[in-house]
Amino acid sequence: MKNTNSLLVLALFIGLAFHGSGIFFTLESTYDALIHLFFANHYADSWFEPWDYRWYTGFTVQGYPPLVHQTIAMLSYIGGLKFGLFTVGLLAILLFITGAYRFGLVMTANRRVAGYTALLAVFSSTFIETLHIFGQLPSIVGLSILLHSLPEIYMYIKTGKAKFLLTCLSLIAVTVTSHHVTPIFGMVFFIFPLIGMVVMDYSRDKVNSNKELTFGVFFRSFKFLFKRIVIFGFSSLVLIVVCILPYWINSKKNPITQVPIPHGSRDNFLEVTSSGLVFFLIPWGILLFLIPYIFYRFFSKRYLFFGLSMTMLTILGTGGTTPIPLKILGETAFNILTLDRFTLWATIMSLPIFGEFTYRLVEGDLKEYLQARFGAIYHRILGAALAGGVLFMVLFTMSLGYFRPSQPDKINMLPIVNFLNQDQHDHWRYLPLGFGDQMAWLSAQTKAMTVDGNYHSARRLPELTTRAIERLENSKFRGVEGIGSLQQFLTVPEKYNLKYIFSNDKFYDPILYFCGWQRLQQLENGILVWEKLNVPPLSSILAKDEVAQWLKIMWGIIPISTVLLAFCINIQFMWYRVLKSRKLAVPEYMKYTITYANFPKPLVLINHIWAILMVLILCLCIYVFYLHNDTQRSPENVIMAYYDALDFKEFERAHSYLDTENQVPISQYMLEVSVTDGILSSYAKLDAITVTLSKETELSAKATVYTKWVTPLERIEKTYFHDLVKRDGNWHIAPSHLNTDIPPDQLFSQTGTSFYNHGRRRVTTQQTHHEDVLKQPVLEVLSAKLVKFDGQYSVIGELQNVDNVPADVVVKATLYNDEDNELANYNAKYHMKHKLMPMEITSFKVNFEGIAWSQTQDTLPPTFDPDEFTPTELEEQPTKFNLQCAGNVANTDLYKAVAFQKMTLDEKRITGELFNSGIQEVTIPLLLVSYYDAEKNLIWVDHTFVQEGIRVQRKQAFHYNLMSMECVSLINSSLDNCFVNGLPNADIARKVIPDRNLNHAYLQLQPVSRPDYDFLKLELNSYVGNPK
Amino acid sequence: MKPLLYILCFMLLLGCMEENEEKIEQRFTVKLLSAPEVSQVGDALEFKFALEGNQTPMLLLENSTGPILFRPEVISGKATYRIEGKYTRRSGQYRWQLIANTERMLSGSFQLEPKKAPNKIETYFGPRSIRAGGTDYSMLVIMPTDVYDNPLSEGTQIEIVKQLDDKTSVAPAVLKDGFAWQLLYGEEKAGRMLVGASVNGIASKELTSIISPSNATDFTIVYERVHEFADGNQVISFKTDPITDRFGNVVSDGTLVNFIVTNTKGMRLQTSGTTLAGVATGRMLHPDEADQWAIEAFVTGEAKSQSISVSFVSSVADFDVIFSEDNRQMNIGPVIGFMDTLVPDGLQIQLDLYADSGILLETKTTNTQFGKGQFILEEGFFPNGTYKLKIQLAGLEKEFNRNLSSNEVE
Repeated sequence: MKNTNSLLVLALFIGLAFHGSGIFFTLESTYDALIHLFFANHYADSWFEPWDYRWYTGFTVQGYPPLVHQTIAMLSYIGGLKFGLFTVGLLAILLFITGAYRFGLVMTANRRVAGYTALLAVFSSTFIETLHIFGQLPSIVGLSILLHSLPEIYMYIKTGKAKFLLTCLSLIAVTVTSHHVTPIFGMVFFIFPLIGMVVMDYSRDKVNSNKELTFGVFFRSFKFLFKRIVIFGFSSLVLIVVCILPYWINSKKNPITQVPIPHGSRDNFLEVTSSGLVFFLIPWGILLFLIPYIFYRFFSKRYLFFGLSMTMLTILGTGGTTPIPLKILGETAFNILTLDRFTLWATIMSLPIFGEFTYRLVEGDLKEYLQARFGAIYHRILGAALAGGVLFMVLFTMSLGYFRPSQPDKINMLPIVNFLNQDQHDHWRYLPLGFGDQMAWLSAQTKAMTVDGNYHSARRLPELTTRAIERLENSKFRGVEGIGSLQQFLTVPEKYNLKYIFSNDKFYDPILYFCGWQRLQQLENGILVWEKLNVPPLSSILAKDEVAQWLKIMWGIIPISTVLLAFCINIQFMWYRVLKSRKLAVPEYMKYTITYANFPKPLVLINHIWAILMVLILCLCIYVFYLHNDTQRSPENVIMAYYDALDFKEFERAHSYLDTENQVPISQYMLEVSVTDGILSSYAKLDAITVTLSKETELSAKATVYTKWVTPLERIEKTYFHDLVKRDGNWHIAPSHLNTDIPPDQLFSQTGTSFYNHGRRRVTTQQTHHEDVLKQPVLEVLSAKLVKFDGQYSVIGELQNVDNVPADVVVKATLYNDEDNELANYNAKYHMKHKLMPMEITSFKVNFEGIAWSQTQDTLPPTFDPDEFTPTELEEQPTKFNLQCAGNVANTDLYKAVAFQKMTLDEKRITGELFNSGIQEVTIPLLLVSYYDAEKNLIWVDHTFVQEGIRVQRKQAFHYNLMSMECVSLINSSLDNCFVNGLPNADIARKVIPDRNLNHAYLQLQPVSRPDYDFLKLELNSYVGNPK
Repeated sequence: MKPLLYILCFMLLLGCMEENEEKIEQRFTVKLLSAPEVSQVGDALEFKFALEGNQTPMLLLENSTGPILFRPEVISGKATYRIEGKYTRRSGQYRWQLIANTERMLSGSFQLEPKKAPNKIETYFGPRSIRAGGTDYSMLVIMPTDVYDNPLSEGTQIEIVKQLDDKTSVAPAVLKDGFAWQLLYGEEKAGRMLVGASVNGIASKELTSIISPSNATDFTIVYERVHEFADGNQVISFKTDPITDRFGNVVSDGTLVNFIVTNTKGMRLQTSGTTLAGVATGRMLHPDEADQWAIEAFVTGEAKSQSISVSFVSSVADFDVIFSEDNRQMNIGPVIGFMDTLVPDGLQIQLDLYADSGILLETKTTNTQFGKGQFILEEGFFPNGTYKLKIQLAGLEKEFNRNLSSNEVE
């Protein structure tokens, strides 16, 4: 039994049972696992072809080391992708525990301590977090193999035997092909200190005691071992370069142009406490209490270099809390690397020391000292506290994903996959919204392509690389910038052949509607499918970046070969060790066992003080947290809590903050809430809130609340006023007034025309029959102008559906300079009604946003903000424009039953009421305001979203602040280059309504007495959130 | 080793010499015995040649789909090339060449006629909808084909059948260049045009073009309401008579009609409706103060209605305002409506608050509930002092100058 370590066996047993069963419940909802699954699916489909069309309009998988993906792919041939994923997960657990054991052994030369290290590795919160919350399989595999290689490196440098060089290099090759960052930084932070330790050990052999080990001795040993170090270092470098050569070539060829995407690990942990928790407290966990011991041990002579490395890792892991990491890494590296990996390595590095501590506490000198000094009971309590702490961290980390889910609920992908496979729907690109990381799992199951993706280093579209957003799919979490980026894709979907959107988040519905998308159907899994008309299908041949054949072959063969080679080389020794079929020499590193006696007494004291300090800090944090979150302790708190509750739609909680004496009953409150709709109450996310208190007395206060809301459409700022009262020591909000208007009747009836268009009249897989293709509705452009407003160019105009069927309208404008060179093109976003009934007119405006301009580099505003449009500076001024309008038969979203009434107008603003005379609730009304001069020529088109919805048969007040037209200048007004469905507009005008009476339109304009304009026109586009 | 090398060299030389012997020129002539000239698609063809010399030439046959090579059957100097029916399914010109040793010996051409009997008629008809009036048309394109999908021969007679307004008419057409086409005009009456074609008893499928109504013409409107009082609660609706085009066709369902209401203040209020059987209805709430409305309706660009006028009388004669002791709370009402009942809930009350200097400080609005309304002026927002208060309700207006004083925190 001497060589079989029972603790290791126990660790393996518990580790596999605990993590092995755990991953089935956690791995699929982690951040990264499904991305790796998607990559694996790519290799399973086309092993040697690195190009994948399915994400980002095509990207190369050579941007990530392939070993783990290829292993999953290979296993997927046996039992499917998920089988592969979980098998690799199990292997990673196995490798990590054994790796920790071997690392512990090389560090401490004590099998018992190494056993404790392995056992603690199983329960280390950093490993649990990396595996069960982040799902970083390649990182774990890479690190584990690196740990396995450490004893071999030690042996080579110590003995210089070629056998060990072979084994360690074979393992390093595997590390390289599984994760690229691990070997590079592992070289610096693990292998260099290890080499230092070898040199130290070698020097120790030369002298008789530690005291005699001077720098001179060390330097001589170093000189002696230098050749081996160089051989090893150089060979490793060659491996790092050669094994994933295609990766390096790809990085060189396609440098990451992505603007830095914010990552929690770069935050200031004191400011952003959630990041501090996830990227500092959880990984360190119980180790935080042992910091003095860990550093004391690491700064002993033998471990000195590990100590330096450890200090470095600890500091780098603190992210933006201190300015040091930024200074060490430099701006670029700081913004590309996720710094949590440094903490990961630091905590893994401290495992052997933690193991040693545990050994000493459980059965070593510390136990004896504590029992002698404080008694057996205290020792047991201390042990129990430590064990309890470990257990608490394990439970806390494991349950984090349960209480604070990082992902939306699991989506059944089958209906979506079926939808994409049906009726040639995969001939267009799709976009999932609100899927979280599950979008990768959807992509893995279909051949259809999306413009989005989940590996942002591989992005190529400037629309994406210039935005600091992670995915379009969750753009709402990136506020205005995210929404702005999404809007660009929604406004010009033709450019990306984007036709279908799967929406799992109602939040995005308004922007889809106002960009001209329409609801198609709700799938069985509750996902709403939106489609856009007039989008051409993908061409059958798509562009790709070709790489040389030999690179493809390298990429396909080397990674798996490294595993096979490493397996063949290393299994032999393992075999000998396990079966004891041949007597093995005791490894060199086993000679440096230290006897654990005389635990340094001051350290006991220091560590006690430290631990008490940590407990105090913890208590303080909890207390501050309580103060901050005690919702009714101060007027600010109650306002914050109230808006937080409203933001998360927890109306019962919101109601509890209302004044108890003047309180509306909860049933009444809920009823009032249930009847309010509109952009703020249904689609907004609170972005910022500031509370100013006035007239604050002991028992009352008035609060002015400035709020900023991110809505899918634009940023909305709104100020609210509240009266606050204090009753029984708690602050409350006085409830506000409710409109008591009632409609005259209980029941209403309405008749109308509704339309239906068959998807396919004949059930056939062939192309739609000629006679089933509907004629495009005829539109007529009534006016079109190129104007400049505040330095920004826009094309404005009016357009009428002159056909007999409702039309869905797409307006695309292109700008040209005097030499007829194209400068920019873009589509009308929400400055128009996209659905027109027969004879209906809409004003429209096309703004030219970021991606519209042909020379994106020169003209692109640095960040996109829909509210603050940065005017684009151009050397070439647009002087002409071209307008392409396309009509397609529309049969949905044709609600027109809203009237303008009770209007008043003064020089500054127009106020009035909107009356919903129909039987659908209008969720968001969009008001389009057109300005005309005395000759009734269009000058400008503006818009405003009315913030409240209009309930059925009720009215809703609105107001609009009139603009000044002094800064609008007309550049070109012409109908010459206007085309409808590809035909010249003039021909249509001549044919369809040859004797058009222009006076009709003029008579409908609202006269206004202003010096800069004379008439106004109001139009309304009503978004019905829940059509009935 | 050496002898073997010599032998190898010798053999190589021998090999080369034999090649040279082959090059001796040989006379080879071909004579055409029979070749097809005109035939029908799908027939088997035969070419016969008399050969002199010992070569076997190949027959290269080209048509619009590409070339095919055929091997002969040679019996005592006579070469026969049999071309099976499956190679002659395409109608049109065929060219043939007899090739020996990459050299063209003979060539010629022949014509294959399509089958006389049609098998299928391909038809295309569009646009799918036209406007009434007799000047707009759809075009029918007909392509009758034989069993091998060849267009029928020139001059084939085609009958075009058209059903319009319950009348069926047949018109002849002649095939030219493989297809025939005809413009089919609609009539003044809206409806549906059904067309088809037939050749030798084989019929095409039935195709449709919708004849939709032409542009709308001027129309009249009427209004409907419950009473003449401006209670801000009842709905007034405006209705058009059935709108038609100049041929008497009712305009398409869903045509948008804008109703523009001009009130006494010169504001243009608007509502809209879509037609159903030509009738569009627009709805609006009664105003909440006496007013005179002039209403016109538009199918913008095409047609408009006459102007009608509607007047509303005030539903409230007067109202009371009761101030609290500190003047910070005002109770309005009970407001009595035109039938001496409480006004319906939701009647708007507006309070304009002016500073002593006459500057408008704030406008507050509330709605009546059970005939009453209330304003509270909080001390936090309105410090003590004299204010001018203007209260408006149903077009009535009352002005007060009051001194706001301190009160307890409510």
